Amino acid sequence: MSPLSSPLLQIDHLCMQFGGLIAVNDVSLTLRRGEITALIGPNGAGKTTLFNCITGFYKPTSGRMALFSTANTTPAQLNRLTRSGAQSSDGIFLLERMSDHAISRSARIARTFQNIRLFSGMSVLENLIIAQHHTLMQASFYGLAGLFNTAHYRACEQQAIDTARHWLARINLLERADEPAGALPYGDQRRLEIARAMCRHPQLLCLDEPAAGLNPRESADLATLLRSIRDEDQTSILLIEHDMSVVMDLSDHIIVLDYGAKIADGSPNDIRNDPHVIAAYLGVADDEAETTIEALSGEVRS
Amino acid sequence: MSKPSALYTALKTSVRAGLITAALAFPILTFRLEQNPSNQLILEPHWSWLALATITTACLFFIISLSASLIALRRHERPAAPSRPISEHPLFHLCALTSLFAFPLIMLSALGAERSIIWINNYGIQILIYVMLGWGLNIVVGLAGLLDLGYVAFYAVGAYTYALLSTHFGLSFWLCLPLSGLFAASWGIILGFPVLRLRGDYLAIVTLAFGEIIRLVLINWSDVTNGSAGIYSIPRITFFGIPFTAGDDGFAAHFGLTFSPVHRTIFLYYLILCLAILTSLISHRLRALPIGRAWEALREDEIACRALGINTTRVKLTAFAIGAMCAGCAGAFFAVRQNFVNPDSFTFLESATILAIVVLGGMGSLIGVACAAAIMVGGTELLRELDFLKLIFGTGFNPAQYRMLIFGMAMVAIMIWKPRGFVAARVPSIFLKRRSSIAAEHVKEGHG
Repeated sequence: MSPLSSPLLQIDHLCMQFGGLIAVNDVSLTLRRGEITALIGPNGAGKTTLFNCITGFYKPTSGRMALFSTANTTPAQLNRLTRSGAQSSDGIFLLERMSDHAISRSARIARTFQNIRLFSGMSVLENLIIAQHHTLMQASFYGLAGLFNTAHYRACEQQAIDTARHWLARINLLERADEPAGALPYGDQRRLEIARAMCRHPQLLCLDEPAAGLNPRESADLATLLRSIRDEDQTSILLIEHDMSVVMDLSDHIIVLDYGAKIADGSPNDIRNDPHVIAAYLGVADDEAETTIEALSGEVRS
Repeated sequence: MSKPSALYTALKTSVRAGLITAALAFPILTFRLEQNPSNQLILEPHWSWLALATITTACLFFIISLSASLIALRRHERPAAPSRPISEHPLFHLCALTSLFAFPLIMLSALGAERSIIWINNYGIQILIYVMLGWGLNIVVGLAGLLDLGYVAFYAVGAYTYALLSTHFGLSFWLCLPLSGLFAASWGIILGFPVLRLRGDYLAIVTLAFGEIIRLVLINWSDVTNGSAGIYSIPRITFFGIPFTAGDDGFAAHFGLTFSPVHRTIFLYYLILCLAILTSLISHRLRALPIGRAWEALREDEIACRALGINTTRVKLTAFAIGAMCAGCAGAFFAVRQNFVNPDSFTFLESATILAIVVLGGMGSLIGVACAAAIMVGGTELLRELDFLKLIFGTGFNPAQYRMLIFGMAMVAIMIWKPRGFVAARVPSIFLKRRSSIAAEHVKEGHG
C-alpha cells in the first residue's frame, strides 16, 4: 500500500476505565484508507475494549475518535467540529459522541463478534436482508409503502435480495441461502457474519478474531476474502487476531496493545523485530528484552 | 433407544415410584384410629389402601415413562424433513375462512334463533376476541421476544376509551374503534419508554406492575371511571346506524325479518371476525417488512441488531405500540358487546390467559395462536357442557367444578408433548429458491 493513502480513523488519547480498571490507557493511532490493519496483543490487553469503543458499544472515558468519510479533510475542520459539540460535519464523524446504531448507520462502520452473533433462527438470506434494514426502511417510508406492497418497495426489496445474492456467491453459500443460519458449520457462520456486515457497504469493517476456530484451509480462504474486500469493495479492515500467520500474511499495518497501552505500531516487518512486542508476548521484563531479542534473532539466523 | 430398554426403564421408574409411595403412604394411610364399641381407641389396619396407592402410582409412572420414551423413539426415527407446513397452504386458508364465515349461519339453522345465541356468543365471539388479543400479544412476545405480563392493561384502555367517549360525548363505535386503538398504542409507548433498558424477568415484573396500576387507577379514579361499579349503559352496536331493536326503525323491520336478539349477536360475530382477520393480515404483512424482520432480529440477538445500525429503541416501541393497538381495538369491541365495563374484567388472570395462548400456540405462529385460543377458551366453555361425565363419575359429579383442574392438567400435558407450542417451526419471510421452515431448536425465545 502506498504510504500516501489518507487517514480513515484517527484516535487521540483514548482512555476507557471500568471503575478502578483502566482497560485502554491513552491510546492514539491512525488507520489508513484501503489498508488492512491488525490489532494484536496478549489476552486482556484491551483489544476488544478498543473495538467496542470504536463501534460505540462502550462510551470511552476520554479521548477523541474521528472517522473521515472523504479523503481531503483538514485538521482545521476537525478542530472546528471538536469544539462545536456536534456529532458530524464535513464528512467527519466523532464516534465518541454517537450511539452504536448511529455509528453503524451514518459513519458506516460494520463489525463482527468474537463469539458469532448471527440471527440463528432466521435463514441465511434473512440475515443478509436484515443488515440492509435501514435502506429498506427508508424505501418503504417506515413500513407504510411496504404495507401496501408498492412497486417502488418491491424494487427496493429486489435490490436488497440482489446484494444478498452477490455476497452469498462470494462466500460460497448461495446453495444454502434458505437454511437456518444456526445450522451452518462453524466456518460458514464466520464468513456469513462478515458477509452480513458487508451488506451494509461499510467504509470500515471491524473483525473480532475472524480466524478463531478455523482450520488452515478455511483461514486461507478467509485471507482471500478479506483481501478481495479491501481491493474490490474499497472497505478498510481493522481486525483483532491471535493467529500470527494470518496477521503477518494479511495485514498492511499492525498495532500492538499490552496492558491497555499501545506498545508498537508499524508494518509487519517492524513489528516482527520490535523488542517490546517480543517481550510482551514472551513475558520478560523490559531490561531483559534486548538480550532476549539478540538470543532469538541468533536462533532464527542459525 | 431400543424397545426392551425403554420397557426396562419404565419398569424401573414405576417400581421406584411405587416404593417411594409405599414408604410415604405407610404412616399416613395404613393405620386408622377408630373407636370400638367399648369406647377404646384401636388402630385399624388398612393394607388395601396402601396397596391401592402404591399400585396406582406405579402404573401411572409406568405409563408415563413408557409413552415418553416411545414418543422420543418416534421422533428419533423420523428426521424432521424441512417441508412446507400445512398452515401455509392456500386451500387451508380458504377452508378455514369459509367455515369461520359459515359458523353462525350453520348454528342458526341447526339450533334455531334462541339456542344458537349462546353458541355464537360463548364459542364464536369469545374465542375470536382471544384470537385477536393473542395475535396482538404475539407481536410483542412472539416476534419481538419482549415478555409482557400486563397486556390486559391495553385491553382495558381500549374498553374504557369507548365506554367514556360514547357515554360522555356520544361518539359512535366506528369513530371510537380507531381512537381506542390509537389511545392504547400511545399507552404502549408510555409503557415502552421506562422498560426499554430492561430485559427478561425484570421486564416481565415491570409490565406486570403496569397492568396492575391501570386496573387500580380504574378502581380508584371514581370521578371518571365510576370505580369498581364500572360504566353502565354503554350504547349498543348498531348496523351502520340502524339499531338492533324490535321497533319499526330497527334492523329486523328494515330488512323484513322477524325480530330476534340473535341478529345483533351474529353482527358482533362478523365484526370481531373482520377485526381479527385484519389483525392477522397486518401482522402477517408486517412480518415480511423491514420493521417485522427487525422485531424477529431483536428476539434473536439485540446486540447484533445494534451492530447492524438498527435503532433497537424504536423497534421495541413500535412492537409495544402495535401490539397495544390490537388490544385497544379488541377492548372497544369488548365494551360494545358487553355494554358495560368494570375493572373486574381486566385482572392479571386475563393477561396470563392471553400469554398462555401465545406460548401454547407457539411463539410467532398465527395459526398456532388461533388454535391455542380455540382450545383454551373453547375448552373451558366446553367443560361446562359435559354432562355425560356424570355417567362415569356418578350423579354427584359436576364437571364445571373440575374444569379448571382438568384444564390445568391438559395444559401441562400439552407442554410436555410440545414444549415449544403447537407450531414451533418458523417460516422465513423471504426465500431465494424454496421456502423451508426452520426447526424450533434454532429459533430463540428472546431474552425479554
